Amino acid sequence: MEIKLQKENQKLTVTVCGRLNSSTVPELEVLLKENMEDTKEIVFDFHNLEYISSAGLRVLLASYKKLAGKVKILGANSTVTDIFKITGMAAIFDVD
Amino acid sequence: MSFDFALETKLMTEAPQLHKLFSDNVLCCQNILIKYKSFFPTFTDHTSLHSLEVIAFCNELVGFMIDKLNCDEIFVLLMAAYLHDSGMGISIGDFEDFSAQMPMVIAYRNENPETDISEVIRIFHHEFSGMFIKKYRMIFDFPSEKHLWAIIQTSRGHRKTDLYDDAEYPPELMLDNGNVIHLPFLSALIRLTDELDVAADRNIQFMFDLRSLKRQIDIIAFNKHISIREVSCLEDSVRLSVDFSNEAIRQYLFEDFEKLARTFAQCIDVIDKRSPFKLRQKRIEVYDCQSDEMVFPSDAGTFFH
Repeated sequence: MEIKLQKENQKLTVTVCGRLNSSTVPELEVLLKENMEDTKEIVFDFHNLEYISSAGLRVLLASYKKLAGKVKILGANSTVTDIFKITGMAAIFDVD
Repeated sequence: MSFDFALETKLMTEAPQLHKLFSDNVLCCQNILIKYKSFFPTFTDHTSLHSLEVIAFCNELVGFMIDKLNCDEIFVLLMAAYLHDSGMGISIGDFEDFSAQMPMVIAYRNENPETDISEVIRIFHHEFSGMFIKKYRMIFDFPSEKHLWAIIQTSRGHRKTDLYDDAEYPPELMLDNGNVIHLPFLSALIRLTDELDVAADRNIQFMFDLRSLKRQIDIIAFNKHISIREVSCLEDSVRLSVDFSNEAIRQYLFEDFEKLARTFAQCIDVIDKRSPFKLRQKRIEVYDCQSDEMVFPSDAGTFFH
């Protein structure tokens, strides 16, 4: 998995490539923790995300809670979108 | 093989209307569950993040048995995963209302008048969850009174209740559509998976500032979670990988391993004796993540008689 971060003003764009699962999520968690201060909004760019597990969903949901809903998902493929729907998370996240 | 999302997928595929109801309630529960912070601001996470982990463990433990579960059972299990801790965040009004209806709470408060409300809630929160689900059932719009009762019992069942009681947990609860809900199995699953959510990711790093913790009990609790690096459901065991470098909490960790092993043994026994299901996993194993040595073997027979 590869993660790129870009911060502009108080908006953090997190581009994730590969698979977000229990073995790769800790890396994302650390990066989010390092960059959460002074962040008011996160955009997760999932154009190159192949799969997200429940561990990945938890980190997304935690981000959502931390930033009071200011979390947007871009470019999720059908597998990832289905997972949002299957888990009931589709109504929570702004998925584009 | 991963069983991630298996329960939810089966529900969506085979009972889309029940799944829609589940999804709507997931959204609803986001705000319900966060309320525990009003009583427990420094407590371990009890939000929907915990519910997601409970469901993930349910998926792993159910495994191939999913073919034997009907969608009504899956719905009950998933709803209980979300609602079993709803009692942690009840309002003061509901606390007084529910307490007045619960002789055990009345007796406890009479015997322990100095006990803080938050402590009373913590001790009896499984029962408060049952009362909460019952009072606010119109919000959740469950398909029937039997579904409501099954969800209440499974939610309450995550701690302390007697899973061997035939009246409280009948082996087979027949629904009007002919499906059977195996309450002892579902309740044992919730009890076990609730206990298994003890690893470091229980409290996601950026959600908590450890510097804000002042009470020793909270510091110990958080450090225990941090030390348990991973909990994995393997083919025949549940494995904890633990970092023992913090000597100050070693004793507390082993106390928790004992408790987990007892709960595991009890849940296996309930499932074996009171349901048509069998867990593949037979024991808890704790490994030192530095040396990869097993430091806590546990036999399902050791703690139960």
